[in-house]
Amino acid sequence: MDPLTSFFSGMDFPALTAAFSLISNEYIALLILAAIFAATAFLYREWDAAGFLALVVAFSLMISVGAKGLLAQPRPCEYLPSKIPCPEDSGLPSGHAIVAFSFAIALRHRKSFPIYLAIALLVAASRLYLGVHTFTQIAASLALSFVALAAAVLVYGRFYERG
Amino acid sequence: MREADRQLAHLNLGLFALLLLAMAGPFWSAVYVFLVLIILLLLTYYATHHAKKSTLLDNVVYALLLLFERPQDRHFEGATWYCAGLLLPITVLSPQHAAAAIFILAAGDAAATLVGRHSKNRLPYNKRKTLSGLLAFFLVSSFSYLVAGYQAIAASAICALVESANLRVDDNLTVSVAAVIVFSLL
Repeated sequence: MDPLTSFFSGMDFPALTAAFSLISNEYIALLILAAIFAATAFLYREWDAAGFLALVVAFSLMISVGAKGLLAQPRPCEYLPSKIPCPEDSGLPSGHAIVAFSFAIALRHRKSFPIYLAIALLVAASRLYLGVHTFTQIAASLALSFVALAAAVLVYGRFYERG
Repeated sequence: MREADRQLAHLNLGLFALLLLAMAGPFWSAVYVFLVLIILLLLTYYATHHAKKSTLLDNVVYALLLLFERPQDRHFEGATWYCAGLLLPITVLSPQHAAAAIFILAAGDAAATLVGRHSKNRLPYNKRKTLSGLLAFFLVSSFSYLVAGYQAIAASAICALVESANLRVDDNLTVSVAAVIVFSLL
């Protein structure tokens, strides 16, 4: 295993494990992200981004499902212990990371961007910490999040021109 | 001359990723490009939301902006999409195919831009690109054959066509996606 994945998955803090296990549930993670967006949209008046962001999330989920099926790369927890039960789908990309990165990148010209970048990096670190993804799989998620953004831009071009 | 500097800066990013891939493996190459991408995203935010003053950081940021970007482009947009295009094959393909894909993206795109700027034989489906640029892309990127064999020739041809098309998405990403698809299928 690569040194970064070993470093993060080797850590063990019960509070972190509990918190990261909670956001490991996709529905809870999306709800939390939506709640944070509502707060930052209110603070920075970025409500106009909502439609485009929904499209970005939709495309990132589609790309995640498609790439997992096509690439079928195993998760590290299939051969090493993890802090949560090993999910059954394949490891590349990380669904959590691709959604979080897509969200952040879509808002890279907005004032709220640093918040979402921090969230995306925290989500990425959580997947390494729990032992369910390798760093390369997380990095692939970042790359594929740009593909999701590009797809959303093609469909929703006007926001991109204004964004 | 500035466009040549810009292409050289992008080329150096790609060639260093390639060097790391060859010398240290895909993990370290991915770490490098991942970090550069995160830094570029932060620089984008900084350049967008901070008024230019005379601090050292401002001078560094705007010097990088002049080096990496065209004046009419948004802050660090080209470099960001370029790094995303580099990261994709490194993390998804085998090291051999990733090396070929990076070479196609880095060298092919640079050749197309530098040759195409001085040509007038516009493509019928995209007046912003030239036939000379398309051929330069294909010929230069075909050297990736030395790394990945005949698959690389096919990838070079398809990537040259994708790069010449007007797809409304940065061609650094579309070329990379095309290379990943070709190498995955063949």
